Amino acid sequence: MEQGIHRTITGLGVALACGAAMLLIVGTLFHDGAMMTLGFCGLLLVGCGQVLAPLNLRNLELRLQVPRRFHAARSVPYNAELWNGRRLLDAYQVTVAIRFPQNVERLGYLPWTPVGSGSALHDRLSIPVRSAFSEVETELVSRFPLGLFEVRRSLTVPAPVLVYPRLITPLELLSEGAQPDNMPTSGIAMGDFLGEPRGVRPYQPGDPANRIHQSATARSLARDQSLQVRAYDPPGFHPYRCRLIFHSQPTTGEVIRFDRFERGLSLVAGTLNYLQAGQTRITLQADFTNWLCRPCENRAQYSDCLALLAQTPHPKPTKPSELAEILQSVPTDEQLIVVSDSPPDNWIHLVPSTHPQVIIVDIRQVRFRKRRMQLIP
Amino acid sequence: MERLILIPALLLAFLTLRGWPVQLDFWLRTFVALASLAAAFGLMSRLAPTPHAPHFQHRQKPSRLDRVAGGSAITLSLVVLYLLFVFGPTTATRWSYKLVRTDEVQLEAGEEGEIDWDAAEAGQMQFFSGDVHTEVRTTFDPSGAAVPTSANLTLKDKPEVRLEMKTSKDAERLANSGPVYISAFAHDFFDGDRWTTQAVTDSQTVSPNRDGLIPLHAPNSAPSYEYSILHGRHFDRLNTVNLLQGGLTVQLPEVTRISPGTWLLPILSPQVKHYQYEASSSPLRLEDLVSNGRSIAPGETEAVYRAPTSHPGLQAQIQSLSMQFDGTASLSERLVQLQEWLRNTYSYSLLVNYPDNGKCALENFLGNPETGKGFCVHFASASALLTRELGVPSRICFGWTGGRHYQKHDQFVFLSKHGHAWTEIHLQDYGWVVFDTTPTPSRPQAMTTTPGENPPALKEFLHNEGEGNGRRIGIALPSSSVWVFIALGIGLTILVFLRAFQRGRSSRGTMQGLSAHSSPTPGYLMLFHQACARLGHPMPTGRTLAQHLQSLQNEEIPIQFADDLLSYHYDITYRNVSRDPQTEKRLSNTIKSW
Repeated sequence: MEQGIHRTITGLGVALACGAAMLLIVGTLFHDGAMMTLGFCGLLLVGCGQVLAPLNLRNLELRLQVPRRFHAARSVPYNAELWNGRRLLDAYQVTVAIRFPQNVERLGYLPWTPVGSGSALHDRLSIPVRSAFSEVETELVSRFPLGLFEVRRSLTVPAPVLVYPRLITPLELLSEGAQPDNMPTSGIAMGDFLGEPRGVRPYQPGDPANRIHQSATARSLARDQSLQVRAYDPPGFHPYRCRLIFHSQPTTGEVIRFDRFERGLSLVAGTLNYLQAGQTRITLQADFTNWLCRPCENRAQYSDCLALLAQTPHPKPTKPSELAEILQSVPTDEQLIVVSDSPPDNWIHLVPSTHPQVIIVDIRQVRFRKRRMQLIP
Repeated sequence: MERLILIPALLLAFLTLRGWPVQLDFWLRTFVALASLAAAFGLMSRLAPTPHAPHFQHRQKPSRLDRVAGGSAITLSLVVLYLLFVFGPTTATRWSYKLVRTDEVQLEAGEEGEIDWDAAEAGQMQFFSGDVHTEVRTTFDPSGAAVPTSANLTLKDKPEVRLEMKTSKDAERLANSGPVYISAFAHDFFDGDRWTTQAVTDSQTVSPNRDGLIPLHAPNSAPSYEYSILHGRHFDRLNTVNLLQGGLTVQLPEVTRISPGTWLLPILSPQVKHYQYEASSSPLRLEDLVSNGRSIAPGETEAVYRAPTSHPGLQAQIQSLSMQFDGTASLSERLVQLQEWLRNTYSYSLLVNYPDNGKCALENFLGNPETGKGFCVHFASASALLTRELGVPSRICFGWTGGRHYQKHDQFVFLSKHGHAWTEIHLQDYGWVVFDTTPTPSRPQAMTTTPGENPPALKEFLHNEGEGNGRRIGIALPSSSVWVFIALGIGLTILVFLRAFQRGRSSRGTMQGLSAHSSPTPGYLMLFHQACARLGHPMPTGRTLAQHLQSLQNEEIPIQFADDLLSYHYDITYRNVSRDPQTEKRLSNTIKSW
């Protein structure tokens, strides 16, 4: 048998083998040829199943195409292809179990694959928690033929993937007036508002139809030009430079909770995402970077930061004095955003009161999305 | 729940393999058995739940050749199973007798007697003897001879055996001695349904002695006759040595002894359609001994000739009936009483149709003297079992009696309608003696022809190929069927391999990209990918082999085979160099040991 193929007899196989053996024995004792023939055929069937079952999984090759980088809890497409590299014997009734990290398992069923060909599965995948892996454990399971034997073959398929933390934009960033504006006239709108109208521009694919500026379009079309849509400045206030500090449990001696640490990283990722969208220059400084500053001023650096977050191991608690020193060292012209995996009550006293622009992100927030504006009746 | 389908299918297959329903042809019954099992397994597979998971979509739909090849593989398997069902029961029963020798059979065989397992298993072959007999069968069947519960004998005038005496004196003496019995074969054990042969042995071939004669039995005190026997050859059944009762010698190149009363003729070339051979016999009837006032005593013979029937109900009946013949009278007197009692009590009838009351034919025959009608087989069976109860070894013989005597030619010709069964008892100093209890007026009678009448020509004795009035021996495949099966098997095998060959040469998809259609990743490259992944340097998609080798070298990872790998890979990928299995194997081994 090929290495890695494990064969077990199923209940049906046991029943058939025992029944066949019994028929054979009873037939022999009573000199009943018909009974013996049926018993022999049953055993022959079991024997053929025993031979064919592992053959059904031999020389099968599984390949995965998974997005290299994506955020946790986001549904992403992936492709799997099972290739039958044999020269004889098609593959029948193979169940493919793809075991991604974080206990995410995806199943696929392969009814038939001829020799020298393959079958593909197009499915979607969502991994709830950040992770980083280079290969995926898969298992091929087959009960062919007739369900007499169950054969399992484990395969390790290369699939280098970084799962970024889930994006949670802190509520504190969305609060009105939370951030100082380096350009006071840039915008006054919040939430779902489009921002301050800037002017019109030519239509581009993807622009919503309700942004078409009717009168500008009429004038433009009269001059044989394209549609014109309204352009807006981004809403909210935009600091010029920001320092994002993450730390773990600086004062209490409790064990760092895994879920809170993950949520803290998600808040960091959401903060980076939010600020990066507003083109704010961010510097990430965290205990898991040994307090080294990681710039996040463009998309490449943003991506590197997310990769760092994806691969960050579970940290050790930060010393309060160390945190206080780091916080003290943040220049006053940079907005300071502090995220932790413990409630602010434990460490807020370490934040220098002299810093003019500080945002304390509370880990205990449960609503991560922007609140919809509702009319008060 | 879908697995429960197997139970009725298995039951149906078992019943059909056992011979039910008898109205169906053997081949059709076997087909039904196979079809029931195949349908059950097919239905079970169809109804089996599939995992609730998205299905892979195969790159290509099954082509016509795929379907034909898949169907061919299934058909080939079914053909194999069909042949197994056809020949399996017979072979399995034979093996069962070789593996398990039951006490019952050993007892019957006696301490010294060996058992003819082939014949014994053959006796088990027919379980449902529901076919209506139309004549007394005079050809040997290893499965035995049934005592029919229903029969409607028709008397045919086809010449079957010609007995030509050496001298006119012998012919005249034989004609005047009483009924002439031509023995074809004998059975010795009755299971309540069939007479089978269990005495003796593995079949053994006997060659002539220095005189060119094959001795069959030891001579007795009765006058002997030398004669020539002629009969047609059966092409689909076993041909036995037909002899005047009490056969002593026969002149043949060889014979095969399958029991003390049954000898098989040698197999001739297909062109020969009849047998003719010299023999000698000293026939003896109980009536001859009784009329001459000879005292008789049971002979010493194998235990099977004394064995009672294995049918409990019938045996009880036989024991009950035999008690009326116990007494102080001599054995000969008691045997004559038995003979007269059977002849006077029961009626002879060519039409037999016993009710289906759970009793065997002989129970029905003996159980009610008023309605118990039977023909020679019933009378002979009853007398054979009753004489055993009296302590006399017995057996049942099948052959002919009566016959037409052509005085001018010193010939006796026996027709189909002269087919007969009788009892032979083994007596001390006399050997096997005819003990015919069939009512005299009813059994075939001898007739002397008019002086001008000529015996039938040779061609009238011949049997056509495939002609048969009885059961076939074993399972005889019609010749056309054999060729059909062979052609089917070859054709299907060719289709399967043609499809495999075509697949092997057809363009293959690729694992490199899910939508591309190029050659699959070579094995050595896959191994290299896996080895790199194990080392912590997986080869990213989009990076060429040269780039990855360079990156590994930059990491100061030693790769001794880098040049060989790169040059070979580039040769087969870009320079149209054909792949070399030896080189790939060597590269694979090197990578594995890396």
